[in-house]
Amino acid sequence: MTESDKHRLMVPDDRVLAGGLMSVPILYRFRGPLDRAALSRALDRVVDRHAALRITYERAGLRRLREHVLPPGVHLPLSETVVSEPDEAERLILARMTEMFDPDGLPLTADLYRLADTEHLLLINVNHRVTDAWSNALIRRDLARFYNAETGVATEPLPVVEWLPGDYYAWRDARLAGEPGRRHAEYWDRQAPRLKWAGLRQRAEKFGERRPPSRTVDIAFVSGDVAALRELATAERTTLFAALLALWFSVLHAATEELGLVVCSIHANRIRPEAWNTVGQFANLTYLRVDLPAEPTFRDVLRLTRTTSLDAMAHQEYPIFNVVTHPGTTPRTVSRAGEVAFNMLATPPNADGAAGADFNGLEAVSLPFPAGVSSHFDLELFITPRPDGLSGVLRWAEGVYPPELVSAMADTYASMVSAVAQDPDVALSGFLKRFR
Amino acid sequence: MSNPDAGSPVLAVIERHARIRGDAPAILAPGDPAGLSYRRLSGRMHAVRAALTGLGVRPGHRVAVVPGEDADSAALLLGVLAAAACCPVNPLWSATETQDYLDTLDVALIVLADGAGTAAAQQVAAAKAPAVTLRFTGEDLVVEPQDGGRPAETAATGPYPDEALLLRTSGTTSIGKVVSLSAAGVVAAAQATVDAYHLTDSDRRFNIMPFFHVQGLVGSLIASLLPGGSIVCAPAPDPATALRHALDSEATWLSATPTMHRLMVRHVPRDRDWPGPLRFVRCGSGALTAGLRAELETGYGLPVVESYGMSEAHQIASTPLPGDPGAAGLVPTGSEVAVLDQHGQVSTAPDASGEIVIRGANVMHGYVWPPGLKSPFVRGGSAGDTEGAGWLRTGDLGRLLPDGSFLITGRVKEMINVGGEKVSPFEVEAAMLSHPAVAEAVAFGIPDPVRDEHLGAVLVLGPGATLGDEEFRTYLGQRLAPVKVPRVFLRRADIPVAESGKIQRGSLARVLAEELTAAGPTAESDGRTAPRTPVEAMLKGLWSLVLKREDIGVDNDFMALGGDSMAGMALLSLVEDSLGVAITPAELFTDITTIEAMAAAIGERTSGTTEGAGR
Repeated sequence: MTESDKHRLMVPDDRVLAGGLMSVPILYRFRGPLDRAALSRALDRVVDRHAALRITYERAGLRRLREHVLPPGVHLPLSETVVSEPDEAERLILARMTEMFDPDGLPLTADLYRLADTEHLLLINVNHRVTDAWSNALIRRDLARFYNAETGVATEPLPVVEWLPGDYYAWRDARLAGEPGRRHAEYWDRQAPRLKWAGLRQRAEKFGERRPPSRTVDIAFVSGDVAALRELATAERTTLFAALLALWFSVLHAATEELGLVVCSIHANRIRPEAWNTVGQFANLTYLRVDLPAEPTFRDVLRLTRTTSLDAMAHQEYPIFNVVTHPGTTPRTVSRAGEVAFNMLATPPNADGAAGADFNGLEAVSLPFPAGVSSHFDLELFITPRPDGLSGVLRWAEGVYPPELVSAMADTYASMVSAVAQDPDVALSGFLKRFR
Repeated sequence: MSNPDAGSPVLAVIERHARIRGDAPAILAPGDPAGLSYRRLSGRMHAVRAALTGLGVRPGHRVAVVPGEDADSAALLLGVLAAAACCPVNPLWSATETQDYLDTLDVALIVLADGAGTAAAQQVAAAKAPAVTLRFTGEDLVVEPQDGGRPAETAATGPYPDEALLLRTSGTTSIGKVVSLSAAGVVAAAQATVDAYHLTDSDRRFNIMPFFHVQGLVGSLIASLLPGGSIVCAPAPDPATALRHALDSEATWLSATPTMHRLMVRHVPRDRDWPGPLRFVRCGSGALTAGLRAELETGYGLPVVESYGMSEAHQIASTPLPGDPGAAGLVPTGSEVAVLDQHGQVSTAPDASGEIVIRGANVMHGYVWPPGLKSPFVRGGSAGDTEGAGWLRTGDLGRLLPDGSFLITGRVKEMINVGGEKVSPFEVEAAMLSHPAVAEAVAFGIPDPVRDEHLGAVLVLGPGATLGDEEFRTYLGQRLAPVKVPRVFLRRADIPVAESGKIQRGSLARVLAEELTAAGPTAESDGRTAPRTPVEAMLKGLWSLVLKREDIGVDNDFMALGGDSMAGMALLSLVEDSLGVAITPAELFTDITTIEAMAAAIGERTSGTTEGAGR
């Protein structure tokens, strides 16, 4: 632990140990002869490498916890359960993800479910307090590398972990206390009063109510369409991220007929390369608002999205909870603006999905989030880059929307991708009727 | 401190020897075989102490001594050490430097040795404290007060009641750092040398180290006297006569810095009964390379021991003498040795590596200057009995070996930071010295606007040898990681050394600046437009850091090079952190899309401010 870690030693309360919302799981399916001992050693090496995974909590009052970082050399127990069928495994996985983290244990658990001698599921359930999607990609990359090393495969050395989490927080705090912090505050003084509901909910949310379980629906992409979207983005001097977000705004416009739209976007927020190999919780949220002209075409939406997301990008490091402190907001207005989310996280260099699933002698698949777990968001679009294109999942809070609305949105998104790939100037008015 | 002798273990030692072996020689000089006996030395120390008391000096006061390198200066220093906190001053410092030092320490009195020369008197003329010249005439001590200065009684005392010796070490202020050692610490430090080399009353040290240096005063003078042996003070000998004097004076050991040894070993007197009573030679105050060690062993025909020490503790460790249990590295002599591992834990585990930490009776109290210095001791850490106060951080990097010895792998401060990669000059030097054409080699860091530093090397080739840059780079490339291969080689007849005889890797880039400029920068090899200004060069470094590629021209578009929003944000935060200029993502992806444009924007945005760009 560095000196700079000290400032986050006291955790305000024990909500950090809650399951469900704090669970950021990694899930693998392995087919083939799994070397369980090597896997266990590889997990220990991952924990050795990343200080954040060795954080433990000590009770320091009724609801307060004190963080400690254990020295390297701690053992992460790897449980093994024999299950008779996939359903049973899924039930156990969900149970693990929703239970509270052990306050005396490490901030992650590892469970192996044996379906057959040559078929296993591995759940690494990591506490959101110490990880985010980028960090989990690092964990996957490092685990595969260590497993291969432990089973005798020559491996490239891993890049050095340059900053500990505390180094990052200390750097960020110094920035926020200075000129960048002033700029961010100024930006949010302007933006915060413009936050609003997306306008999709059937009923208002009861503030503080228990989050419902989530359901998912897949969105399929045709690879030719993705290539066309990329070209369009380059021509407009923007990124695929902005193009896919513009499509999401377009679907929301079609579903609500609103012109002012707000989406919560999740950023990896690793804005110093020294933190690129560090496991920790650095991801941040920001709100993106576009105000569309009447009768917009897709290109209109794309250009507005580009401007909005570049503006927001400049302020992405501003902790989302600080937004509440700006005039014109309450925790409630800020929270309701997070109804709809867009989630397409950048992956760390050298840690893409393919490299993260290269386990010696095994057919390994990194599985998406299991459904059923609660989310902070009501409606969240996940886009994941794959070696062969993109995959999309729409996750929604059960009971908040009619299922037919959500499937119409997923369908509209998929068909809009194809329409835009053919004609970027397509008018959105044609899609409105799908929701009437 | 009511009984002054209780605070002066050094005087107690001398008095004991004066009783047991009063006529035995303690301090000699070449050409003076009788020298100063223990009885006379004891008398002189008492005389000095009485004189200081008469001048108003009280225990706890600090007394500066400007010594010569003769036997009388040695006696004078020991006398002052018995009476007050002794602050040796290098007669070669400038007058301003000396005055600053003396005023900062608020010394009660400045004592000039008769052998220090007239320059020393002028040097201290403007100091606040009164100065006095002490001269031994036969058995008498003549006290000659100089003009000026306020009464000694009014001087302050230091923070440590048992402070006995203050030594100046290198540092970033003009005065550097000042080490405070207790009398018991000084004796423990000297005893470490006695124990390491089994020194007895029949040993005689041939000393060429100055007395204002820890090795001269503690490791040489006091270490010789502790077991009742003797020391030959040879002021500033030339290399050719030093070894003859050592033979003439029947010395049993001598010690010098690596550079001094390198000069002396070429003058081993072949016409004499070499090595006479010499048992071994010691090398200290600098790392002994394997090549030089072999050269010294062959040239001297004597065991060569390498000692590891510093002003803060004197001798910490040494390689063993033949006959002692062998060891692969340095064996701790006066201190417990451990390492501060990468997690900030003090470790004594075999194969542990990190910054070397030491503790023991020989370790200093702390620094008394500059004020507000961060404690050099390891603090806190998690619970465990190897933790706690008392471990001094040495600033050296090392690895503990299973046989209880340890290796020094680098100097924390000398580590060269090549774009974030810490390179040990020792490792680079070992690879360079393994080439048969290379006689001497030193690696050092050259400030680089982009990568913090890049590697340079000074080479001294063997007689008649030639070695081309490219040939040598290829050779090193097979032995070292690319980042550790020097970019610039300078061939010289010798390695520049500082006044103390040490190689100062930290200042070589400055010392050799002109030669480095003449050696010229390397050109872009991929045909892209190379940076033309320091800001462009720095930006290119930042761009390649976030884009993970080197083939970047200053007119290339960020997006066309593969820059996405992640790389863009990383770039912009690096630019703001290092150049103080905020560029927005909208600008990066719209107008300021090349290094060229970014450098221009930075120029515009900083031109109105008084602070320059750059770090």
